[in-house]
Amino acid sequence: MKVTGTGWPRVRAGLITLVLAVGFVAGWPLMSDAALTRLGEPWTTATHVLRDVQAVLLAPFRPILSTLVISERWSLFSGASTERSRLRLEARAERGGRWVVLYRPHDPEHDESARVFEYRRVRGAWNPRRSGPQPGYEAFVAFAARRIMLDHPEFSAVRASLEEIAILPEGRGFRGTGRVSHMVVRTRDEVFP
Amino acid sequence: MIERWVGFWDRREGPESLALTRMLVALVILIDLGSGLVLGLVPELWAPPPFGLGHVGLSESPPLFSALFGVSSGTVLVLYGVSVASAALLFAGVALRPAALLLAIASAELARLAPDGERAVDVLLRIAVLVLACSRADACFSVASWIAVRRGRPRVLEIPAWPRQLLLIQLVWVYFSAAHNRSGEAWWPAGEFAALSQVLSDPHYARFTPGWTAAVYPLTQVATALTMTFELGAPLLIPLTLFARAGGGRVFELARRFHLRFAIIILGVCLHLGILVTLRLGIFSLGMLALFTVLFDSNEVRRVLALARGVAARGAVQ
Repeated sequence: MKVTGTGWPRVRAGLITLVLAVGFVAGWPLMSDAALTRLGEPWTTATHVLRDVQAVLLAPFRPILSTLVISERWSLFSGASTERSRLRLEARAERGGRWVVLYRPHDPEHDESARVFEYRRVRGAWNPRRSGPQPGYEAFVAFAARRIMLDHPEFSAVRASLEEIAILPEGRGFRGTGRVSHMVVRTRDEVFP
Repeated sequence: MIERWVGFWDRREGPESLALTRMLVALVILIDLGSGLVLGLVPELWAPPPFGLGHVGLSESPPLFSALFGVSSGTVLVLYGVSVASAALLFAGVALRPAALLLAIASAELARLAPDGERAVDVLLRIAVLVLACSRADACFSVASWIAVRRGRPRVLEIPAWPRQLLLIQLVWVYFSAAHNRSGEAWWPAGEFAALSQVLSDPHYARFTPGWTAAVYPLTQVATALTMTFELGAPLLIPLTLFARAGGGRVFELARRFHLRFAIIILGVCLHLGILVTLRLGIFSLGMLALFTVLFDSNEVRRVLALARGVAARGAVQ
């Protein structure tokens, strides 16, 4: 195609090329530290060098990328791990009383406010990463405790925890391991200051 | 070479395809923002704790708007209101550029307050909105174009094609990047393509009671292999779309004869419909499918719309 007229098409093509180049560099598939621990050398050195190069190349564009919360590295179910967790929300009426299970995903007997807790933006706060709970996990526990106590004035404390589960092979579901982690308790005084 | 590159980004095309993308992207964003409101989660989704999930707002470096006006539910309500209003304007095709820019900035502010609630599809839609802000996506199917025609201005028949071309590259990159970032063995032959059965057995994501996949385990393996094939093969969609009508030599002539482009697109649509039915991932599939419109040029969109009008007219006569 022959380009005629003003210089704008060339300027625009240059700007688009810059956008594509920045996107390409931001999207390099650099391995995580966990993966590097498993793979060892020479991957570790190569990845660290590439990370440094990437940081230098992206430095002038970092304010734009962070202000607009834009990334070009896409990760969709990258791990598909067999070691997962299942959220459990419990509440109790009085100090020293019995904890009552209110919510667990896929537990029809304990589905308190399931639509709220399973809304994708809320789930994002409690669904753990491979490296552990989300940074906003504690904020979620306070949020969940507040909602539960508003609906149930009889409760004085809410406890959240992650039951460790094992995904069974060949699509047979999952089973509990009996282990529980990241237990956080919020009392009425804490969430209604 | 440079001339051809400049010429490629200087192409023009009919406005229908990009206008459809504009409407669907805005609609998906409105559905997502509306879902939060219907569930009674506004402003809690982004408000500071213990009231809400916006834990970052309380850190030392809150995002710009919150730093200026304070970290509070009121600030979140303003950002939410701006997001909804600008998404509605984007959908209607009114004040396209300011509306799209405001939407991108407001949604980024909300994302920075509660980053855990932010998923890949939100980032992708924000990028799409930014590209649309630089486009003429309001040249048809919009209030702006309707008013212009009523005032006697001629219909816009051609707009710059580069925004659709850029969004096409972006869409393809999402899939290709997702595929080569998959470190889990279960996505690959070494892991016997067990990934989808594992995801479908995860109580945090599964729509149906985990375990149902045992009866169809081989099918989930085929689906995993097809997902990887689609994602790794997604870059093919760029030349296949560019040479959809002519050119590209014998290879693309063969691709056109065997409808390879449509085969890949149908595979992608099936992948997203499968996700929509079996997993609880919110707007993920809807957002991705909204962007599938960039895979079709305006002639194809016009043909589909004419077909739909014909079917509707026949239905009305009967």
